[in-house]
Amino acid sequence: MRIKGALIRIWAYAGIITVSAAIVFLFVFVFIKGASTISWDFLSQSPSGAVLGEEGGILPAITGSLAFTLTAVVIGAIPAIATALYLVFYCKSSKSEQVIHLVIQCIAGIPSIVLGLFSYSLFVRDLNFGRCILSSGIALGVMILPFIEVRAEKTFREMNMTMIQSAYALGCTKSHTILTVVLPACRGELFSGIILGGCYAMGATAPMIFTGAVAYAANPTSIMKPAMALPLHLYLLVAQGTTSLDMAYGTAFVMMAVILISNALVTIYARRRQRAWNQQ
Amino acid sequence: MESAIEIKNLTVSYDGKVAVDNVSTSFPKKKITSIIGPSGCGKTTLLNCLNGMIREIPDVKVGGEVYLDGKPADRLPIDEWRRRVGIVFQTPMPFPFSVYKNLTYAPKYYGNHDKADLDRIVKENLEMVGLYEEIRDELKKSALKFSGGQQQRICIARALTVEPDVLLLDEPCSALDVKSIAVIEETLMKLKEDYTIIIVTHNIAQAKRLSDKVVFIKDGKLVEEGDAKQVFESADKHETREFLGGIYG
Repeated sequence: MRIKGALIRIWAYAGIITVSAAIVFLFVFVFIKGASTISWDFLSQSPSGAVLGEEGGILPAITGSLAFTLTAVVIGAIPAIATALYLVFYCKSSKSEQVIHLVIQCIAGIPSIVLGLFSYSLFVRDLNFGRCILSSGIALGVMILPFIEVRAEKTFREMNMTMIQSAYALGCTKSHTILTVVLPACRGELFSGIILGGCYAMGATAPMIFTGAVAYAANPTSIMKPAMALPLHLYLLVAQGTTSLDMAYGTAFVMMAVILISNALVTIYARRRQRAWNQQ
Repeated sequence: MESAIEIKNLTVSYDGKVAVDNVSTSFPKKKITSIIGPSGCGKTTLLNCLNGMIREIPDVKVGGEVYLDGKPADRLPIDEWRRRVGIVFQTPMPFPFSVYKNLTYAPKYYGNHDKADLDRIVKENLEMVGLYEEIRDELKKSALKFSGGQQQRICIARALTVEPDVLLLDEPCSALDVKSIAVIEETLMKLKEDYTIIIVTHNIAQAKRLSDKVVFIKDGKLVEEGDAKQVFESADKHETREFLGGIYG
């Protein structure tokens, strides 16, 4: 029994050390390699050079990525939160609940390239949207929908039902209670789920390749136009060979920094909300 | 004695398991009625039937009738039924807003946006639960930052803001300290001048102190009901005497 306990402990420690070491190595390596490329020009100019991206900066890729992410978040989060609300507050049949959960798990299991191809054939071709931010945003939105739904549902289920019943007991309708009590009380957790979903979308390349991300475009001005995206730009820089490798590290640095900062801000915000809630 | 609320042949079952079995009784106007009985006997289920909260529970079957002022309650719109029969739960659970916002939540829902009138509602209802003088300078503070006893009184005041006829309380003192219990009991004695109060309690001594009428339930069945003094001093049924004796013993 003691040996078993020791083995489990070694396994747990070895796991956490390996994972932490890999993450730290990855971040430090990219940050060291990429830091020298980072300058105001790199962040504020468009890519240029004989081989595109060899010179200049990555501004349109940053703004493009933000546009893709924002579109994906709007398209993914609204139905995700609505589904979670339905499951927690309206669904009275456990069978329907199981079916909906199964569908959500199935969506979560779709490979992102398949989502990209689906969006390409339906939105880009059949519905004639063309390659644009919206077509990619839909594919990314579907991709992050289960991610946000699971978190939102958990948040709603953890809410104190007595508080909700107190509002019903005053004669208030369910919809009024959701709008005035449930959503304000859960906004910290919902917000962090949405931002984390956004980070997930920002790092995804496959759903964008056929649907809206391009090798070169100006800063996005409309969701019906294609745009550059950081992950695709990074892929193209690396694919061009050694001439653009420094720029590739710089791009990776920016992308990881954006995701890291978003994650950190969300964690700090969620902890603060939690602390404020506990102190109340 | 005139009844504010009456139930006839009420039967409730969850997944085929009967929780309340053919109970008929009435609750006199402007009096305190205690519902007592062992744990799991169906007291809270019975209370939840009195303002339609039972409908929020999935897979529940309800039979029988609830009458409000002599009229069938289920013919009223559910919000009207709940407005007229307020409920305060076991755990004090104010909304995570200020005291002021807690107390104006329901009046605003019913369309009252007149600042002066809302101020009056907040003041009057906090006075009613004896809390106004205590917290008059802290009305903008989060209601969750007050003590358990104060929070429970805020919840009672919140339930009164919609001017109900009946106030239901589900073991309102079980999470509170002795001092807070005394204040809540004092508040309830004052409130019965204007409201019909029905309280579910585990605390027999409390039921004895507060009640005008007692309803004793066991295994979902009504065993005995009647004037509080008579039930506590010389209960007719052997089961009631056993239950009260057991608690005292």
